[in-house]
Amino acid sequence: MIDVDAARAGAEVRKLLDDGVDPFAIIENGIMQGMEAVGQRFEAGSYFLPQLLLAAKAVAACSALIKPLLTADQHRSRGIIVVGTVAGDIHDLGKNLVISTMESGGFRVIDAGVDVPLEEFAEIVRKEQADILALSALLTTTMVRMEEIIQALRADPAFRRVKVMVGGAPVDQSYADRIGADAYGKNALEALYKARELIS
Amino acid sequence: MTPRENFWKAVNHEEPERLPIFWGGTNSSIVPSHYDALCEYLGVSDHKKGLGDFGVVNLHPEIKAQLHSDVELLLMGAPRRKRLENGLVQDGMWGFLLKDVGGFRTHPDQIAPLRQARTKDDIEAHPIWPNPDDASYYYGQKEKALDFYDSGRIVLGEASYAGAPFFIYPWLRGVDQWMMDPYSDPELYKYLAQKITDLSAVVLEHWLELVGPYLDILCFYDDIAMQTGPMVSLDHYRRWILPYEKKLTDIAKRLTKARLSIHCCGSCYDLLPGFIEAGYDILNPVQTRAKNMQARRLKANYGDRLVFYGGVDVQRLLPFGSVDEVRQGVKDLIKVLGAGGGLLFATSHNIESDTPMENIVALFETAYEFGRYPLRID
Repeated sequence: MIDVDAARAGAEVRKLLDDGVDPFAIIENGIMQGMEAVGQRFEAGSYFLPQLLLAAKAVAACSALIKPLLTADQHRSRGIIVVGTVAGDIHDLGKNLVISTMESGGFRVIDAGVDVPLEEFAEIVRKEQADILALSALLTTTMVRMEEIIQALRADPAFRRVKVMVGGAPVDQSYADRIGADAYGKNALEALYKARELIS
Repeated sequence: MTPRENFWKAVNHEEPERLPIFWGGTNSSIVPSHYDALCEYLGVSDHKKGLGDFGVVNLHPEIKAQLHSDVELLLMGAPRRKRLENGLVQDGMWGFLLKDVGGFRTHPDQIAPLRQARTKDDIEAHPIWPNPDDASYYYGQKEKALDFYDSGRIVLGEASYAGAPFFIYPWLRGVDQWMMDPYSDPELYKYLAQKITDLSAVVLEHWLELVGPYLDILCFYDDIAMQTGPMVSLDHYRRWILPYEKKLTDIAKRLTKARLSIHCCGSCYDLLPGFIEAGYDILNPVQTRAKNMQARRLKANYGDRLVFYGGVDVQRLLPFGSVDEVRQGVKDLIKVLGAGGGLLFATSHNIESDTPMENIVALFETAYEFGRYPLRID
């Protein structure tokens, strides 16, 4: 994971599974810690976007092998999170990094895609019985959609339990506070930590 | 002094008579969706629809005059785009695909035409590449350049998509793969980057042979930084980007005396040594809200080697600030970045559609009022 090599990470996971190691332990002790180390190197300035993206690819390669082996309970244990970019915005680089980081952290992640309208978010959250909705926006003109979504969810008792996280270049903690978000992640790794806090 | 004389003083790090006001480049204009409202606000009714992928490129002369703009944009021509049956627009020069989303014309990674390419043959199979003999790049350009030159105003040249090899790469292949290709498939990366650069170079050369003598500033584009830092390391830039860009700046230096500007949004502070090595003299759009990009820091550490084209925050100050805050922000910026020349006043990108009209007017009025040298700003 730390060498951001998808092929080697995948081969390593396959070997562990063949040796009978518990799939959930591989997530907890291998992939998640690897992704954490990558995220820390990114924060420290020794890794850059290419390395993050390659790490995300490695997570995807490992997850593809592990996911089918998880029990329903294991799949649920960390929580279910829906991630998407709000309407009018097609930026998905940051969103995709959040998705693989959350996956590396053992969350079951549903990718809602880009340019997602409120009704669609609500529908996916309802259908998947999600614990968290994570919203991404890269434009000052589209980040206002986040507030609309939060207000709509708060007004509906069916979503009483659902936490909302926000992120993206124009968003910061004070904006997140103002629009009533439950958490703000300044990058993918912080988003993972905050998501864990929300669930615990 | 004419605007041109002011420009050359400023880029030579000397005090001009007046601060050059750069309103009208493709990245120092206003987004097309907000242009009608601005024209109406300023009492101009005979304007045409605002055109441009990013900012309006056909600004009405009356609007420019009211907002004290000193520049004329000479934008290279382009082959016609095609609307496909699925509603997407196909670029006529490179064949990348555009989609209208939320009032913007975007280039979604998800539909990048070379996204699935694995081999050089896959790349060659892409149907649309620039034909350097296509007259649409050059038609009427020399006459226009001469007119602009004779006006005494600053001639801002943009070779459009012949000056942006690393816009084209991600638009053809997806931003994510552009980042990963050097590590996961270096041969494919080199092949595509070289092909884009070589084709750009021929078109750029032909265009500059016509207009080069009349340009004051020539803009190239990169976008390799985020709000919080560069997307790639300086080493990555030097190895995987600079050699290709250098081919284009070398051609420019041979065919024009214009100063060369590089557009890179976001926190590109750590990449500045690389930009200087690549041959650029001017940094645009100077996103002062991004990490490490504070005006003071830039001026103190790079003020002798780089000229700053941009700087006024469009993420918070302009859309959400009060008129007084905008005025103060403009004064602070001019005081720091404009000291001793070295500033081409502009916003740190196109004015966004959520910006109040009063703020737009206050922005340029303040720059005009306080842009007289010697600067008198408390």
